[in-house]
Amino acid sequence: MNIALGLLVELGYLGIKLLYAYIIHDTGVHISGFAPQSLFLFIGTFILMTVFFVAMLQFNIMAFDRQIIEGEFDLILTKPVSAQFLATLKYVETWMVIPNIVVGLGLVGYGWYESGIAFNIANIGLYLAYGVLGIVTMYCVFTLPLLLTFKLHNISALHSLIWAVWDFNNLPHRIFPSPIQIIGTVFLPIFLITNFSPLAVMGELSNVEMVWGGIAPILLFMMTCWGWKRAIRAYESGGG
Amino acid sequence: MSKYKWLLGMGLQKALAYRINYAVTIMAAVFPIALQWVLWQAIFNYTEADQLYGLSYSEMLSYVVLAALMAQALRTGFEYEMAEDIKSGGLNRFIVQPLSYFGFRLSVFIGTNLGYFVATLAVMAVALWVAVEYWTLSIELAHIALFVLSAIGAFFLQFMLFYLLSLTAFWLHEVWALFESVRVISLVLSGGVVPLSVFGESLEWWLSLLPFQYLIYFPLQTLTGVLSFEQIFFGLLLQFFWIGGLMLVISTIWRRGSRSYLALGG
Repeated sequence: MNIALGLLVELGYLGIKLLYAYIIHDTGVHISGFAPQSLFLFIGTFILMTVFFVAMLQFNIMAFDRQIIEGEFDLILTKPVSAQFLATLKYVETWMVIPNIVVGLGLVGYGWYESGIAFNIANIGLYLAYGVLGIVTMYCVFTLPLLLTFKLHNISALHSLIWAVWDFNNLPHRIFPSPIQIIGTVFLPIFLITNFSPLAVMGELSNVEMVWGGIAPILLFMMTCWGWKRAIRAYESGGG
Repeated sequence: MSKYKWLLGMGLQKALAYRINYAVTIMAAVFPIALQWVLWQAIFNYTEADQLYGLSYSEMLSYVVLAALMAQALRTGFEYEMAEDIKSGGLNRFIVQPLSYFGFRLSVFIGTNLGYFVATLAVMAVALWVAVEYWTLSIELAHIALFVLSAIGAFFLQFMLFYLLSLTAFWLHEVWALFESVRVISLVLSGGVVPLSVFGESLEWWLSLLPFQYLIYFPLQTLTGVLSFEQIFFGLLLQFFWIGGLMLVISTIWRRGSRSYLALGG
């Protein structure tokens, strides 16, 4: 029953993402020079990234502040494994993401084929490489705000803000005005998560963007680990 | 009656204590609005159509802004508290106290959400002013008055829907997924993401048989003057029918659920 209802939740969110795909298909709109078929590649990639978000991050984020407030975090600190790893990647969800995997792969496949992108090792490698870097970026973008829990305890509103920003990835970032593109690529690199892998295989990434897409996730990950160590130092047990 | 007023006041105080939280939540609503804004702008520019899905450019932009705000105005959250009350024996105190649980929840809901609701309506008024001034959207005063009436109806309808949903906790152990799935489905079916006309005429007709469209789509159609006064009054009647109908269903399910309630705890 719980699995079925969990699937229903994801189907609901998936439905919203597909609404955008439906409107794009129905109106035949070209966005920033991309035909609807190419736009499906972006939407499909976003849906596939949602798989990693739901499977790896969502439930850990939801449980994180409770661990701190109720003192459960003390137990994590005693384990002979990285506390950051345990506290942020402990829960893994598998069943809920099945619809996203099926639909995401379908849309990516269709968009890839219809966009006339060669299906060769170089392109697949490029797509996967930026995909993995996107996952690293996603982990950091959602983990960094968690560190505020050590100070503020209740950061639910901040999370709803980040989750709302995450939905910007429903469409290619080039649809937004330049200042938003710069902010979302450089300062809060949310656009690196889902945009760079489709852009890379379409040959639409500039050299600067290609380099930034490789460096930024690594820098961000280092910053997250550094921030984690500092936050841990300030941690005060809330347990008995 | 005074005890319910007191509960209402308590709810209001609680809501005011979290006003920064609310401000951030309203800020979060800006992002889906921005996303839809750029999408519809691109679509209208590309197709050069006067109308899409029955709405002009200015009506579509007004709709997506107002719908996102309306969805915020109708936020809930009490369903988790109700589920906890049912599962962990929190209903026990209502057995011994001269207080109706429905009245308690309704008073707290009004108290907690009235501030959010009115504040969001105020933000909507600003958005409407922008729409009228800059997007040449024409709005009549009578439509605004009828919108307020339908928005109040939507507020109570939302309460009834989620109260009814919470009663599933009498039988279900885990309710999170059910609550979230209904929340998402309700958001789409109420027209909180896109106008229901996007789904096509036949599906829109089928959706009109459900209560969800009276949460967002109908109030906004009332406001933007898409409906005639006759259609608005008929719609308001149906909205009140749904509120009354759900109240009856709630009282029936409550009675059945109470029979399977285990008064856990001290």
